[in-house]
Amino acid sequence: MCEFCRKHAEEYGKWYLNPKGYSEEFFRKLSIFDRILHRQPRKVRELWEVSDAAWYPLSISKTLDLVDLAAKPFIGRIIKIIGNMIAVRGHAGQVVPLEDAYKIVELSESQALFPCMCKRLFKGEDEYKCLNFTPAPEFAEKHPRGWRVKELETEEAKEKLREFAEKGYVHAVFWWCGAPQVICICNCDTKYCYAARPRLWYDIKNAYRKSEYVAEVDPDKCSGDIPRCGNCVSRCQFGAIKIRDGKAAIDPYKCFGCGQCRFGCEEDAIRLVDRNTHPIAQRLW
Amino acid sequence: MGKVKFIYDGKKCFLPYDPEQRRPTRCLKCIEACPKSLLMFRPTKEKGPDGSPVKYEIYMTFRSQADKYCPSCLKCVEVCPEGAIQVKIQG
Repeated sequence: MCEFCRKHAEEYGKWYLNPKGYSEEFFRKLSIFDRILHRQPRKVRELWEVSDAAWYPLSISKTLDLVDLAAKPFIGRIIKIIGNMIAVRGHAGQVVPLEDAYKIVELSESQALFPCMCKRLFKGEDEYKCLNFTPAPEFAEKHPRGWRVKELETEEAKEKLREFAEKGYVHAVFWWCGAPQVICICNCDTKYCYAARPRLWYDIKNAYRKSEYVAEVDPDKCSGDIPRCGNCVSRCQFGAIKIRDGKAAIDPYKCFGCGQCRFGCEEDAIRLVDRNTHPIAQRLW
Repeated sequence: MGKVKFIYDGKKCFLPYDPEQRRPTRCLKCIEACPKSLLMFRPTKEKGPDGSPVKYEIYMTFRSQADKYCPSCLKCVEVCPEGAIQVKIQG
């Protein structure tokens, strides 16, 4: 069990299924540490102002320079420790499979689609694929320069999530100002993701944690017929699946448990199992 | 693979701030072309009267890992219409 669930899950099993994480309380009380970290105005309106893409990139580029130091031999270790600390108190996330994403949408009060900040910065285009929850949409409306958002009903939001899953995007639930407060579900393409790359390239774990599940192949069902099939290999954004001895094999060290490989499988041979019961993956988060 | 050095000439490349979209909208061909999405834009230190940025520049993120992840395909150099980007590969 990962540290967030141990601390915040209570009787709900997973931290992001605890309804407390969806209350507006967290915007009211921020510690001094949080305020320094986000240069945090108490007013939430200003919180959205700092996330305006026109002003924000300078601090993003500074953060990226800091993240970059994690590759250095000695300073790197310190940067990793600090990075992990900041990620817990700041804005970071955990991968969730589609089923859990549905549950999160049901728990939240209102949903709105925001343009993906990472794609905006690293590809120069707006794609509406970040699903933000209460109170984000209200504050976006009040934003002085008017964030363009698309408000959705719960059913529409689920429909959108299914659409994103078909495209192969990884769902990740993100917190803001501390771990149990759910703010959005990002639908990431890790190729240009600002959270996933520090994890994958620099091993800053808390920036993008693995999900509560891990994928497993049923060797009896998998045909491993490569020219015809092999969808799971191409759908995995983390390079965790390889075809070995004519069957798909999942590397538990690399698997993030997003479950995207399942939707490509024609034989329905891949399923998600609880990470806590997996012999190797239970220690990897 | 040798060391990769990304050199950007801010005088040749012009990326103004678009108040409508709140980001640069002109060109940006290089960041679209990068297969590993290593390039990003950031505002320069100049500020307009309302505190908004005036102009943007292109820079390479994750520089210390660039030797590992930059495929040295030189697509960013190819697509740049102004010739503002140079990539030097040493060794």
